[in-house]
Amino acid sequence: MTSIIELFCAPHCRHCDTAAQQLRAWLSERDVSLQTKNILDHVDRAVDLGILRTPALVVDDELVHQGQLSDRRLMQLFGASRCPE
Amino acid sequence: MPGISIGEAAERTGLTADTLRYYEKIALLPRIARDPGGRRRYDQRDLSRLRFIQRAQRCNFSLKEIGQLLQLRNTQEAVRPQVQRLTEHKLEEIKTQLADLTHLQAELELLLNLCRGSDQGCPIIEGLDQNA
Repeated sequence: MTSIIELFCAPHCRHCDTAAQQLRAWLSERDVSLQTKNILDHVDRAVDLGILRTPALVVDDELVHQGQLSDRRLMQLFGASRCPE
Repeated sequence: MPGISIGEAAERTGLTADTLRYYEKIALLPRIARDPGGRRRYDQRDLSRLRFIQRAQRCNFSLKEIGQLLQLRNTQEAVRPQVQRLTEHKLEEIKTQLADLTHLQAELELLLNLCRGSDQGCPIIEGLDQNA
């Protein structure tokens, strides 16, 4: 089953754009689509998921990461290194 | 004579002496012990009961409801079924209020964190606007 990966971002968030770019590159060769969401449009859901800061990464309705996203963390989460660009 | 005066009880609870006398008059408190001069002496049990009344009032219980709830505190025997039902109902209300407060707490923490992490603008204002 294809995973649903959501990235919750906020306006003026310092690390959100970078995290989105990193994720898109990381997921580009996988059968996974990244949904980026403005957290202010989904505050109730964000609270239910336990999000306290952005960027927040949610995989299949489970919060797996909050805050600045590193390649090392992406490796931990998705298990393989990013394809060379 | 053990216990504390009505003035001390008022000071400890933040209630007025008139309120303490009123609670006794409407039987929210049992008859308070008197010293030989006829002055009220409040013991620990009375103070505990007053704190319960204050907590219940903060949860928007009426004095009548509080009186019924206090029966649970005072008797080891089975309380009347309607008192039990009232207590169960109030317990559910408190759980709902608690869930609402917990959600609100998390939402405010999130919005405050977003505000702190922002160089420009405050997402709290935007978030409140969108929830309105």
